[in-house]
Amino acid sequence: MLLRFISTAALTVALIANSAAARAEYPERPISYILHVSPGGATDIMARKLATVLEKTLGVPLPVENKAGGRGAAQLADLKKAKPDGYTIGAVTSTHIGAFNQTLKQYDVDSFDWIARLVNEPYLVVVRNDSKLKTMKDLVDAANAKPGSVVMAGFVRGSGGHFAWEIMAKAANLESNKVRWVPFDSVGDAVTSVLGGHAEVAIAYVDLVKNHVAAGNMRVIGVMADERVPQLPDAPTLAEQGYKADTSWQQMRGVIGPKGMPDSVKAKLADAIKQALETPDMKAYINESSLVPAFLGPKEFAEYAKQQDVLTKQWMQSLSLER
Amino acid sequence: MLEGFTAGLAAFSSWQVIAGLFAGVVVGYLVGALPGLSAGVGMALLIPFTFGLDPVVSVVMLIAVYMASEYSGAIPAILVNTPGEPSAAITALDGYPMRKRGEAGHALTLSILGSAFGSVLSTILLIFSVSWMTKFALAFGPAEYFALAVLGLSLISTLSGSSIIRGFVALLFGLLLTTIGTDPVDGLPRFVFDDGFLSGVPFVSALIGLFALSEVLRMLETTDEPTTPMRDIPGVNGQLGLMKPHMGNMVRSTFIGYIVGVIPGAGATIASIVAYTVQKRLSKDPDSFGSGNPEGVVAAETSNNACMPGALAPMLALGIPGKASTAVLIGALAIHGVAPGPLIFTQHPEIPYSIYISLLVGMPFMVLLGLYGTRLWVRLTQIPRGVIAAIVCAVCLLGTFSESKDIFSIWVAVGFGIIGYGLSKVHIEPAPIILALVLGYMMESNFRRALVMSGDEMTVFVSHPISAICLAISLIVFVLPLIQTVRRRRRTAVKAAAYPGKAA
Amino acid sequence: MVRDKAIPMNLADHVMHEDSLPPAKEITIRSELGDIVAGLGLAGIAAWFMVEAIRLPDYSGTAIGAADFPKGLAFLLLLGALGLVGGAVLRLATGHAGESSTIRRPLHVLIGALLLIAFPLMMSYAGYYIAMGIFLTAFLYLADINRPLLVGGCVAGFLLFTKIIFEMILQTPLP
Repeated sequence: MLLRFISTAALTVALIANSAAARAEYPERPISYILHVSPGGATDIMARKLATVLEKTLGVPLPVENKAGGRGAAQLADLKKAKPDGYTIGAVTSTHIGAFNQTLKQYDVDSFDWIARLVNEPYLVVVRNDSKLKTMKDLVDAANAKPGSVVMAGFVRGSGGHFAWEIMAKAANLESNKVRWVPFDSVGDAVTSVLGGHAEVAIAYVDLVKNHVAAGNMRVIGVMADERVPQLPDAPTLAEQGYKADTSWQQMRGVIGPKGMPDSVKAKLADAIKQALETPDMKAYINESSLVPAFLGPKEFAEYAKQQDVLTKQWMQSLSLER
Repeated sequence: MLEGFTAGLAAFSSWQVIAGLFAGVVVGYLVGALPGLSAGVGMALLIPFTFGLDPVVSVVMLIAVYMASEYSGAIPAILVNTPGEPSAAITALDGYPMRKRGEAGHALTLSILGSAFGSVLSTILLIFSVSWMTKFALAFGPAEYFALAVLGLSLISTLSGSSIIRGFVALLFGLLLTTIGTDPVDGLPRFVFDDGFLSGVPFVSALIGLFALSEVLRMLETTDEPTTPMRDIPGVNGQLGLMKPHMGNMVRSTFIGYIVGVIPGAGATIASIVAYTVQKRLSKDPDSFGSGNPEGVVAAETSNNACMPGALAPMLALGIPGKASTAVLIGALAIHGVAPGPLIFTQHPEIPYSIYISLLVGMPFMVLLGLYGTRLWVRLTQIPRGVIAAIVCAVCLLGTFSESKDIFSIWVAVGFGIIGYGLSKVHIEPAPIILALVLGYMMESNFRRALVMSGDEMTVFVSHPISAICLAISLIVFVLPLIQTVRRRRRTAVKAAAYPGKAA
Repeated sequence: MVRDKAIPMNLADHVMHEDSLPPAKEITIRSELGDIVAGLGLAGIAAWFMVEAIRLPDYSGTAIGAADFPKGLAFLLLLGALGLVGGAVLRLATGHAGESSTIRRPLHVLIGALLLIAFPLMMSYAGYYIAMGIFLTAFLYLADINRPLLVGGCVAGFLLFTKIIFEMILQTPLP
């Protein structure tokens, strides 16, 4: 009996010691990676790709869970509930920061831990090839000449693309409401409506339009970045056309976690992500999808998020979208 | 075109492609038959497995999943009134009454043959018309989508039996439910009494609740009865013979399915209901629709499978994902650096052509699986009613959960199940509610979008030709049965006044 | 179905059901009564939507805004539901009432509905496998499957099916 007690006790001690040792070596069990999008889209594919590469670097599986809905509401509710032990992480995009200031006011940038930024994507102004608008100046002139005559398609009001347009309009000294902003369910839908001639201009991303441009169906009249995009060598930047818009405003994708994760865990994850982004597989994918690698570690990413949040708030106010 | 086919055929000579095709058909068959797991979800689950595969192999596999699951959604719809895919809800309208009469084998056979016919003919249409169908797909802007949604909703009169007011009430109830969630234009949360509703009422849960769980409750009324005797199914040759009287129906339904499929975002449910309505109008026996007319099963199944090659047209030629399943295909191709769009036919001709070939080559395999499977499935109807009720119920609860991975969706399904049971007792049927849930968002969001575009000018809906035509047709479709009913009611005034909801 | 064998009973009658083959207990409701209950329920829902819609802010100015569509739909549903009630009342008043709606074995249906409600509750507290085990066993007994071996087999088989197909192959995380 006594012997049995001792052996049980010894076993317990060993187990505790073991788990303590394991805790030191995060990660020791699967990490769930929660997305705010449904399966199949660009964000989903990239996350799944990243998860498979991370599985190799971290040595544990990363099951991807899709919690689409409510511009991230479903996903964020799950992240908020999860323990900040590094075993639950989530995808983040600029859309989240917009939502914090609009429909998801119960959260702000401080509600989560910012682990790493992955990539950036510049905003483009595109028209159909037969459009009379050839440059940004044509667009501004047309809007000034007959307010409401230019219809611009994009994602929902208050989205990153919408603010991008506001930033451009401000740089061009144009009252943005002289152009009709039509919100679509996705940026892809907006591009389609320009292709079909229902809207004249769209705010879009490189990956969504590069083939249409190459096939001669569409034209990019402005790129909101410091340099031209390699996939679209003929498309001029806004600065080249004399409009000084803030080019740091770009669509970003990153990884966040519940608030209060230990720094060591965050560092380990960020490190693994950095390595993963450097693998040839990931690099090829990023290049193929016309994304711009833009890794930031936990500290810099958190600062970046705060700064984007401040900008968002300013735009919300000036657009009176705040509620 | 010929070089394309040679490239596609060359890709088909490797055994991996053939293996991928077969694996895809089997997976799709199972995924489609499980309520809650739709084609898109099944394909997305396979994506991680395709990372290491050749692009042709992975696209062939995913296409096979897509094709097979569009068919097999009809199996549970016919057997237990539980649509495995949303579009199979229309199949259930006549398929399930047939099964109750002991004609499950007949209904299942017609559904596989209709599906196969629709899919093959529609693929041939796709091969020859893909490039100019894209113009048609692009012609749909907000005004046109609104008009299309109205046209779809006007078909309600075919689904509501003889009691128009009940059909309306069901339709309006469904439409009102679609306004729950984040508003499409201003991003304002509306009627969101629980965070789970932020992205709207979860459609799959509502579908499972209204059809399957309410049916399970109805089954409980009769689990003490013996099972329905089964009628013999003829041999495979005889099964093929069942197709004969439905050839015209199949051709018509295929064209409807293909054309509706081309319109991005319209989808198989609309195709099914349009084909169903057309067939009901042309049928010699329209009154038996909804109580087990085989023509209804054929029309619904043929058109929802014909829809799938149609949806591939804008996806291949423009890179537009019309719905979840094609979005997954685009994503899967992106992994391999292949972007569907205007350049795919010149840069990667092997991709579209191997898709065509797999649709054509996979079909005989699917038909065999379907015809022999029918024999197996029919035996399920001989299992005691209680076991069927319990297992269907369990699969549905699990299916709703696995679709969203959230217990909230089970609550929604249970709620709709009980509501659906209650409504069925006052002859308010679930089909109009489902129709409204499919079309409500499309109607409102595009109506408002069109007005933002035009600067609140209502005339856009009649000045665009497609929109004007759709609205005109819906007016006709909507008014005709009203007049007919009024006439019929006058003729049998006394009887009808007693109880108009009899046949609902 | 075997409605002819069943004994029709009036609304007040919901006596215990003996576990035997048909004939079984039934509730028969006059269809007018059902219409009135359903109509009032739907009218209530419509009214709730209407009130909520009026409270929504409107950003569209004079144009169609976030609240206008739901308001219109709620109004139409209200009309439709009241029409249902009105029709039923009219039929009752003019004595044209005739048809009835039957719920066979009402107690079974009620318990079934309660089990359905209990399932998500159990699942949140006890996890999937326990909840499904209890639910399925109870449901099978409710559905007149009273051979213990068959019930056990069904439950075990289904849980195994879940484990293999959903948890292992489809990687659904089951709580």
